[in-house]
Amino acid sequence: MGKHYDDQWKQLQQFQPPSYEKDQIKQRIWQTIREEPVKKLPRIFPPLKGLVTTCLLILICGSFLWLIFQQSGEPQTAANPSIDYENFSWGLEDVYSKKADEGLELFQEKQSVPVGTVKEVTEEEMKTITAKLPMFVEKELEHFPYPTTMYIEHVKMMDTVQRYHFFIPDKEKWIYFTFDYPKLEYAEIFHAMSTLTFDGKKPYSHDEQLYVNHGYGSMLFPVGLKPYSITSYKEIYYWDEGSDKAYSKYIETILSSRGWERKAFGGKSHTFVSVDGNEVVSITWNGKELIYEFDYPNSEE
Amino acid sequence: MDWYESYYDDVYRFILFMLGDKQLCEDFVHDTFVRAYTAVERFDMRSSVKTWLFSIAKHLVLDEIRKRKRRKLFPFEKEIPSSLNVEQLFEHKEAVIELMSEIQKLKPNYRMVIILKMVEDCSTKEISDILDWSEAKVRKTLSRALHSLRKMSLKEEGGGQFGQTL
Repeated sequence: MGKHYDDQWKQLQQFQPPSYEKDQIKQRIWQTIREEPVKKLPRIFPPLKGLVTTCLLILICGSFLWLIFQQSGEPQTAANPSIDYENFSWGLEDVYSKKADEGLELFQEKQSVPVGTVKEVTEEEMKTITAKLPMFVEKELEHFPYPTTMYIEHVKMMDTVQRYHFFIPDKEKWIYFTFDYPKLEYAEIFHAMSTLTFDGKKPYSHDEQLYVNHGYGSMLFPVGLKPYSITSYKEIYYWDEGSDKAYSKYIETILSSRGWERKAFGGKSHTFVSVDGNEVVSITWNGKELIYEFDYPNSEE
Repeated sequence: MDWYESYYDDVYRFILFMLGDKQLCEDFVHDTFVRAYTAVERFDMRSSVKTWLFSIAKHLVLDEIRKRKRRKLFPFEKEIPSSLNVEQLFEHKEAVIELMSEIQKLKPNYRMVIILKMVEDCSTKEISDILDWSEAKVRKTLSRALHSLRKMSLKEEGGGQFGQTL
């Protein structure tokens, strides 16, 4: 290597970040860790585990008692009250709602632009939305917490390529959610909708794993994945509900679906090829993460 | 915070040279250590702490590069500004900034392998652990990355500052 470049590499090697930044970032890290849910810090704060378990137990018992009192007390005249669409929760911890001019806007932590919206629309408005926008997919999502119809809109914006639209019937109206991809990953969008709970309206809970397609693709993905790393050819997800048994069931589900043939398998890895031969997907379960590797043999780089 | 004290500089340098953006670098250094501390139960001790931290940082920077790439797919909305904003960190070191700028022009895989080898002085085994590649792939990619950098340098300077031994 030329001496000139040797010197430059050496300078890059010897570069030290400013010390004041080191302390600032350290403070931020501490603050973030303190605000993280306790379940994520099992080894750092082990004594808190017992406390959290006790609180959860009290909460569950309390909710149970509250439900009993609710049912035995008032007559069930208002058996089917309207859903208050502004009061809901879901498992997507870092996405929260803020009041906007028309309904709610959804924000992801650390992002200043909204990642979605929530509002109530009439039947007429719903028809207008679904007829006027370029929707490429329309699907009923079976076994989700509430009866849900999904549409995927093809969008040409700098930061959005697809917009997911979900409609949930509520008496004569519809509760209407939108999410922008890739501001949120596919897995996050489905994680939100599959764990949605409106206050005062008990969600349906399905006792089997749900599967969905990501975007326009035909490969099935389990619902409940948390993206860890998504790149063009490799996607890694945490699968909290995953187990060896659930993984086997997942593979069986892909095998029984149309469109994919198994090309190879060994250990916890299975390779599938699409029937048109244009896409190869290897899926690996390592006991913690679900790893997808994609290859497109017939397309140029 | 032992890991932080030990590896802050390494992680910071890796992210800074991968992205060329000081502000983002601070955010991703923060995110790397937060992920590491909150996922400590997933660290199985098969790799070293250093390679584990680098692999977390790698995922974050690759995600960012992917997002930038997607944003560039739709340039009609507005101009994407150049991301290199490290001048204040390297005052009066134009040659270093130039080298960084050339690194930024490399493909992400080339960029990663060249920074890990030439700046972080990682062994081939360590790079293979961080990137989840075989050692043969690390060697091959490094050789191609250095070749690309050499070509780029020759093209821009019209000379042979990069020697054959690079």
